[in-house]
Amino acid sequence: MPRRTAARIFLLLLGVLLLAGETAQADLPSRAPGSNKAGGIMRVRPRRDLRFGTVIAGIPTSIPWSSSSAGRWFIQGLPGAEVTLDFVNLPSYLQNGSRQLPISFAVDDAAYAFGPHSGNATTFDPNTGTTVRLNPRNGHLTVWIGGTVSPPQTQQPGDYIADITLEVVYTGN
Amino acid sequence: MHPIVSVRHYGGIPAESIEAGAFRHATSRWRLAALVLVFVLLGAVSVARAVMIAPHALFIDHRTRSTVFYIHNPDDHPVDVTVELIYGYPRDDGQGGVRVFLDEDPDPSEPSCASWVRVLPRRMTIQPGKRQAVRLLASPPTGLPDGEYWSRVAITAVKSSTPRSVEGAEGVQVGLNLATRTIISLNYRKGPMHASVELGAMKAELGSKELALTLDLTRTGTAAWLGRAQVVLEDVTGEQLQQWDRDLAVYTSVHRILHLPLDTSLVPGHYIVSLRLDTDREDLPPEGVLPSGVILRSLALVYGGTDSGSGKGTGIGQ
Repeated sequence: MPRRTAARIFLLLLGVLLLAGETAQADLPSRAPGSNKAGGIMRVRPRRDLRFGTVIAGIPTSIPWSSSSAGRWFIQGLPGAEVTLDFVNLPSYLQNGSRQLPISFAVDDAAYAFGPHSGNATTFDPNTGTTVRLNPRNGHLTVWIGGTVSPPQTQQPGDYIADITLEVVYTGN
Repeated sequence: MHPIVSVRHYGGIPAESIEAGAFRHATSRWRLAALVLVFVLLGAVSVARAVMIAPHALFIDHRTRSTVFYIHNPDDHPVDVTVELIYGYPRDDGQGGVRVFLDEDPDPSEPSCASWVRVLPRRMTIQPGKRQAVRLLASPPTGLPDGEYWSRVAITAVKSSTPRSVEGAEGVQVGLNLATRTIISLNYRKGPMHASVELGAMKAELGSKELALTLDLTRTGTAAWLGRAQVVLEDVTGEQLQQWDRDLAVYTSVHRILHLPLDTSLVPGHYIVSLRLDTDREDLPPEGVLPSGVILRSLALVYGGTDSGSGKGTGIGQ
């Protein structure tokens, strides 16, 4: 199906769904000036933080990307548009004040899929990122990330936290 | 609750003229329908508590030297947003793809506008349901030669800081919070601009699952060529089997391999691949499109079934 037609169908379906159940806010500008379709819009939404929960000092703990505890983002943009996905400054340590806890990311700790389900996902190295096209039908993309924490035997109790930033770049291609 | 981030921008036109500009350009039935639906879409996404950026490309003309975009936070938490300019443009990654390589300290010979376009404000906390106008103001150096100058606009958004519990915890609790950084393009144009591209070598390989089309593209105009590739696969009778549209951006020169998935299985035989390069980009605002001539090229392929078929094209029309 030609991309332009897919975008139109996407717009129509989305409009019907939204008209049925949602209400627009009045204080928003209506659209990008001169842009003829919703393709100019990009939505990047964190859906779930990466949670290791309670770990045991001296025992490494891994959360695979396919786990229900993995981090997850939802992206929506121009159907078929090419974007690069990079994790900016992936942390090597989590922090609790001045205390640190090591974390690492393997080459298959990240994945993406055209829909919300992980069944047909493709893995990639979160340390290097990847380039992918958004779903040609609806512009959707879901991204997951897992990782491994390795608390040493001497790890002090506490809440260890860090941020993971997903960078999404339209390449214009 | 996760930090929900959504940013959107409106380039080049003050807010009060957005609607007028929109209707001026929305002349076709589909465009009008799209306009109405985008209206609904934007509002509904705000209900859905996501942050948006729109469009994904900003353009500044030397005569006006500014543009505005808006960041909206429809979340129920304040969001801390940082906007910065970093030089970069999509470049050949050496493997047939492109990546936007960012350079915070580009060589002076690079056509960067990142150092002389200011962002006002650069940091902001946006309350739930509010939007913030962000203006880009250019102060180009005296005697700036005519040409196009580039940057990327990086919008980083995280949920506003909240107290984190570090005392009294039992055991080792571990968690990572997710944030987003969205990067869009900025092109600053001074003087008369024209965009054109030269298609060098073109090669196609037909496999059981995809058509791989290799293109060597070189910009020949005074501005980046922001165009589109339309690829059509036909059998020897001329029946169209499939069509693909791919946006292309050629800032200097690129060696691209377009991986075009096949919807159906092909039988062994002869096929024709036709390529059309044009600048019919509906996703860009009108001021961003620099029309150029159309390039047409086609080539013949022989597909042998499990073995991939391939062909090297020679230009038959340009």
